[in-house]
Order: sequence, then structure tokens, then C-alpha cells
Amino acid sequence: MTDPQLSPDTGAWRATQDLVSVSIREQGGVTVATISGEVDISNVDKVARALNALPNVAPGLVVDLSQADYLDSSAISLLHGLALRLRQRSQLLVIASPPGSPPRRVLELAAVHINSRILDEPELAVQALCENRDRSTPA
Amino acid sequence: MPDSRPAQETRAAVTRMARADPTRAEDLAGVLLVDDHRQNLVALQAVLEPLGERLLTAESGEQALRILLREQVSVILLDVRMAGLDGLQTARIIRSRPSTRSIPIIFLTAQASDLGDISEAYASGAVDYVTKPFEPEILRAKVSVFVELGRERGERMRQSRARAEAEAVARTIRTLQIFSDAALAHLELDGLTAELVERAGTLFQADAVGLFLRDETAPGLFLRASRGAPLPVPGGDRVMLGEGTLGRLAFQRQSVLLSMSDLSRSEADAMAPADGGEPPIAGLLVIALVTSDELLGLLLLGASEERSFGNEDLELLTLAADRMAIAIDHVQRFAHGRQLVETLQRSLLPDRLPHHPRLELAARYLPSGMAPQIGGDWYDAIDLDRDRTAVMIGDVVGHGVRAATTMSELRNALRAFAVEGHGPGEALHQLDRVVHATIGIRMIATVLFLIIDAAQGTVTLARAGHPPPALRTADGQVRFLETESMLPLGVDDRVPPSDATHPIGPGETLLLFTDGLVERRRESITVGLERLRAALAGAPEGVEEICEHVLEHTSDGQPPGDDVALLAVRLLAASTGPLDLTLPATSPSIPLVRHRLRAWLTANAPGLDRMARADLEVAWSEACTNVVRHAYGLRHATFDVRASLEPTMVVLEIRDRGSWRPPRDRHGGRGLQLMRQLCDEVEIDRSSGGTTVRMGRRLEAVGSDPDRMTA
Repeated sequence: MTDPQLSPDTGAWRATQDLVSVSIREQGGVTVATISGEVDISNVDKVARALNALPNVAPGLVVDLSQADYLDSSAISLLHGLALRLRQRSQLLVIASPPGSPPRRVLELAAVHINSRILDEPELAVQALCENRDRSTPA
Repeated sequence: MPDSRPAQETRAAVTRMARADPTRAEDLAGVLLVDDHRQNLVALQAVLEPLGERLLTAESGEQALRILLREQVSVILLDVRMAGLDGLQTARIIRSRPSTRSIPIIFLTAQASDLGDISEAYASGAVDYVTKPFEPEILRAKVSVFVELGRERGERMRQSRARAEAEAVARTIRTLQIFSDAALAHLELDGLTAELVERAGTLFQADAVGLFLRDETAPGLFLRASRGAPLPVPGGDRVMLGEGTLGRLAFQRQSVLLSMSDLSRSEADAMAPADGGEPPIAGLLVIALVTSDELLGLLLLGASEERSFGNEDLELLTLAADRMAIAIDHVQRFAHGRQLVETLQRSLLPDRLPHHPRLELAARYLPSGMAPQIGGDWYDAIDLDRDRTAVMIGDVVGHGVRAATTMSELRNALRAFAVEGHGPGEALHQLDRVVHATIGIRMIATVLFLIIDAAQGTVTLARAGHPPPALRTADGQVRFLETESMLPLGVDDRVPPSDATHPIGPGETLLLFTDGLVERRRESITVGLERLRAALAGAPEGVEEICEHVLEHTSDGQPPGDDVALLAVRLLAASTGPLDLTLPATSPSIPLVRHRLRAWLTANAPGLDRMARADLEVAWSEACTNVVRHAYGLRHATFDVRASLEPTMVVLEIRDRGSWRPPRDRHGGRGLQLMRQLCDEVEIDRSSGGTTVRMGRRLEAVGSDPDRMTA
């Protein structure tokens, strides 16, 4: 795959006003993906690529939107697809988003909470996933 | 390594066949285009017509299936989002029928995440996907590759045994070529492994492909690229040498054809689907990739029950494995050295530039064409306060890790001086004293340092032996901001500081660059500067395009002899009055248009509360996103936007010239629903010439009104 940092015509490295970054860490056996910045149709694929790198064995994924400044239906579609895909692997998606923030507003308007849990903070989300894992019977 | 017997036979057969009539029987297989949007079909036909293939069209998944019952088709272009039977469902049905299951499918989509899960898309029969807007040449190239493959497959089925042998030979050669063609030589390792996996999977119609490579940092072979169904590898991503059947084969460097009973228990379990059904793979080809007597990795190809691999496939792949191993080995050796260098370099250059509401920035770095060596060129940009941004560029003489670390230290020191409030001249002077105190006279560096004040409309600059920046005015005139230059850093720190201030107006662009951009051997620098001046004068408006245009028009086709860095900065207008923009209907326009709106709202509707402004940004982005999704992918499609203030409302208008259909799928539907929830009025006016969306939001409305949620 071509490196998105390389310009296709001149091959030069580009620095742009890159609007989103995704960082992934493990916490308590749970994977937490923190999305910082703005996500729209122009960079949702980049976010999708980062989120697709989830190992099979984790009980689920916390998507931490506390550092996200902007979300619209492109991100909603991504989250929706992600929740479905995780469910097929018996994994859970939990979203962390502060109440009153613009991304939280969009999540609620798009009724994301019907399919995925939304909690106010990433710590709470990690906790909820751990509890869920500990409660389920071992395979 | 001596040629294997199959290779010798192949070569003999090729010599015989070289004298035969290459004309093939007329091929009647066509290319099937499926899109429920008639205009898209017309445009696809126009793009593909030059190929001279027979083009069939269908306006729905059902119609496509009916056509496939009676026509020979070599490749299908399938729109993902259709009403009724959508693209993925149609693909699955096509794949479930024995007569059509091997026809390659290329998905058409506005964004890759429309496919939900890429691996699911591949599992449902796709060999590729293309996002809108399409590059016509690329689409044509992809389609013609699959037409060619289909042609070969069709011919083998139809011809007599002698003919079939000849085709097998041709296929052998083509297969080998496909794994060693020149295009692969230019890929990085990740691109190469993905490309090899895709080619192997397509050529052998495998239901699962996995490429495992040895890694220096840990034992075992790691999965580097894969496609399709799960592979019999416990843990999914690593084959441990000596463990299980696969590990044993790897250790012994054997290539074999396996059935599932040959696998160990844990390997078989690794493939089992969660619902306890039959594993999707019934036969497995294991190919060892070996170079210079060393194991490089394993290539696994799995086939489902309906078709299984034969010894012929094994022989062919074993031949191809040699070439694959060579390509991988080559890339790994080269990449190793380069990676170290590039990682270091990239960690020293900022890959994100600050985002200022009044400034647009873009930067490029192009290393010299010489052997991979870290360079000394650098650039940086930081916001000092609400109005001022510091922008700098420099060149540390020499290459190597020493130059790079020096560059990093200088950059950090300069940042500190700038943030402390020093003017550019004084900051460079302080920096020079640091250089003399710590590094000594042997290191020489040039620096150009600017502070742009967007509120006052000024740029103050100081330069230490570095070329001056170019300034392009709103009417396209380009001149260099000549100021008296200080000496390069590291020469003499007793020279007093000097800087100069110039006005800069809205729409004007500054270009900072290093001398690699304008210097060529046996040429005066004046010539290079003039060339740059002309390139900048003729460049498009946007900062990203300026960087690309200038790079293209100052290179002589060769990689640069010295590193090149450039940084473009444009001052946006603080608009009062309506905001009017015309933009290409492509996804990078979306953040651009949103940021312009953000700046405009701040300046023109200050009374609007934070939540209301955020709502408007979403509504506006959604409407523009719909244009990008639905405008067909011709490069020149544009759309217009206008934001204006009416006595009691903020009004946003988006106009396109395509045919914007009411979205019936969940994506577009979500966008429209959000627009209605976030605005007080939404009107959509569709005509044959285009669609205008008008959205209004009352100025005194409070953004967090709970009633709004049910609107």
C-alpha cells in the first residue's frame, strides 16, 4: 500500500494540516483506541485502518473520543460497522465521549447508543469492558 | 540453483509455441457494469470504451444476476450502495454460483469504509475496490488486467488438449512475470507483500492467502499480508518453526499440497469458524520461500471444497516462489538500511503543522537521490499566540546522523527563543551564540525565520545565509523578499542581528525553500531562482497544490542532488459578508470547507453559541459530503457553497451540478437526518442541472434545546 505521507506525483513527504491521529494502547487486557482531532470523509479510512489492527483475543475495544473535536456521519458509519464486526467475533465496542461535547451530541442524534454503550470517560469504559469479560463464562 | 525439470520443459514448449500463430479465437466475454444510477453507467462506459471490450450494463443487482445467467463475463464492476440488492449481497450471490464464482469483481464506492469490513468484501468475491472519484486511466488498467486473465481462463476451457498445453505454458510464463514484473521493484515491503498476496490469490483463485516472513526481532514467521478466510495458524499471525505441520514444513523448507487431515489439531482448530460450521478451507498449498539457502518465509494458499488445488498449481507456484523470494529479499535488504534512516529523519521533521484559522500551511520534504542518507534540511511552524505564527526553515550542511541531530537541537532552541518573544533577528543571533558555544565552528547551518502576524497583516523575517522566501501576491506576481542576510550560523557570532518587516495581504502566499530546490550543477543560482519564480507564478491557488506544482516544475526529472524542503504559507481573508467558495467534489474539500466556515462564523456570527456553531459545522460538512459521495468521479466536478447572514438566520447553501438522488442507503440517510436535526430549515431543490441544498438556523436559538432532538 502506498504510504499516505508520500505525495503520489512527486514522491515527496508531505506535512499537512493532518487533522486526526489514532493512538492505541492496552489497559487491563482491553484495547483502547484514542482518536484525537477531527474525523470526516477525508480521513475516516485512515482511522478505519488503525482500528482494524485489533487482536482477536481482546474482550473488546474502547474507542476513546474524549480528544476528538469533530465527528459526523462518516465516523458514525465506521463505528456502526466496527460494532457489528466485533460482535461477530463476540467482542464488544464501548465508546467514551464526554457529555456536552460536539461528538457526543452527534453520537446521540444518530442513536449510536442503541447499538453500543457510550460512557462519559475512558476509564469508565475500560472498567465496563473488564467487568463484562470477567462475568462471561470462560471459553 | 539448477533449473527444475518443469522449468526446462516449459522453456522447450515456449520455443515451439513461439512459431505458432498467436491469433486467438474471438473472445466474446464482456465487462459487466452494475450501478443503479444510470448516469454513472454512462460515464463508466465512456471511461472503458477505449479498451474495445464488450460492455454490458445492469441497473440493479437482480438485473446483473440475470445477465450473468446468459452472458460470458470476464470482470464485474459493482457499485456497493444500490437500492434493493446491494453490492455486497449481489457479490455473495455471484460467488455462490459455480458458473460465476470465479469472475473477478471490482467494487465501486465513495469511501472504503462503505464496504464495512474490507476482508468481508474480499470474502464476498471482490478482488479490488476503487473509490470515487476514479482516475480513468487506473480504472481502465485494472479492468484490462482482469479481462486478460479472464481471457486466458476462458481459452483454456474451450480449446483442445494441445491448445490447452500451450495455454498452460503461456500462463506459466505470465504467472512468473506477474511475480517478477518491474512494478514490484518499486514497492516498499508492505506494498510488495500485499501485492504478491493479491496476485497469488487472484491467479490461483484461492479462498485464503497468507504470506509469512521471517522477522529479525522475534522467532518464527510472521503474517505480513493476507486475504480471505482464516488460515490454519494457531494465534493467527505466527508460524513457529518446527511446531505443527506448517512449522515442520517451514523448518524443512518444503513446498507441498496438503489436505486438512495433514494438519495438527491446533492448526485445524485455528480455522474453525465461531458457529461451529465447516471450516472454509479444504485444501492447502504450502510454498516455502527460500533464497541463498535461507528460509525467507511461507506462502499459504487455501481452497474451499468446491475446487481444490492440483499438482500443476504446486509446480507453478514453486517456480514463482523463486521470484517472489528474490523480490522480497531485495526489498528487505534495501529497506533495512533505508528504514533506519527514514525513521530517524521523520522523527525529526514535523508531520503535522499547526492549524491557524487565518493561515493555510503545507510542507514537503524530498530527500536527495543519492544513497539513503539522512539529510540536514528541516522546517518547522509553531503558533506563538492567537495572531502570530512562527515559520522557519533551515539547512545544516552535510548528511549523516550528526547533521540530523544538530538540526534537531537547533530547531528546538529556535522554538524556545521564538516562544520567549524574541524577534526573528534576535532569535537567530541567540541561536548563533548557542551554536558557537556548544558545537563549534565546524558546523555551518543556514536558517530562515519568519513571524507572520495575521491580524496586522505583516511578516517579519530574518535570514542567516539562507535563500529569501518568495511571495506571491493575490494577482499572481512573484518576487523574493530580499532582506539583508546575516551570516550562516557557526561562522561569526559577533555580527549584530537584523530583520525586516513586510506587509502581507489576504490571499498572498509565502514560499520558504532550501537551496536544493534552486541549485543545479553547472548552473548559476539566478537561473534556478528564476525557474522557481515562474513555477510559483503558474501554480494553482491552494498551498498543497503549490508545493506539488513547484516541485514538478523545478525538477529536471532526476532525483534532486541535494535534499529539498519547502513550506508554503497562505494568509486567508478575514471575510465579512457572505462566504463564497467553489471546490472540487473530492473528500479533501470537506475539512477545508468546514474550517472556512468555522472562521467565517467566528467573524460574522459571534453571538452564536459554541454548540450552535458545532451543529452548523456538522450540517454543512454532511451536505458537502453528500455531494462528494454522489457526484460521479470525473476529476473536474466542482460544487459551490455559500454561507450568509440573514436578519434572523444563518443560511448555508450547497450547490452541485450533478444529479443528487435522495439517499436510500443508511450512509446518506444518516447525513440527511443529521442535517434536519441540526438546522431549523432544510430545503432540497433538485433539477436536471443540479441540486441546491439550503439550510437555515435561527440566530437566537439555543444549541442545546432538547426539543431539537425530535425535529
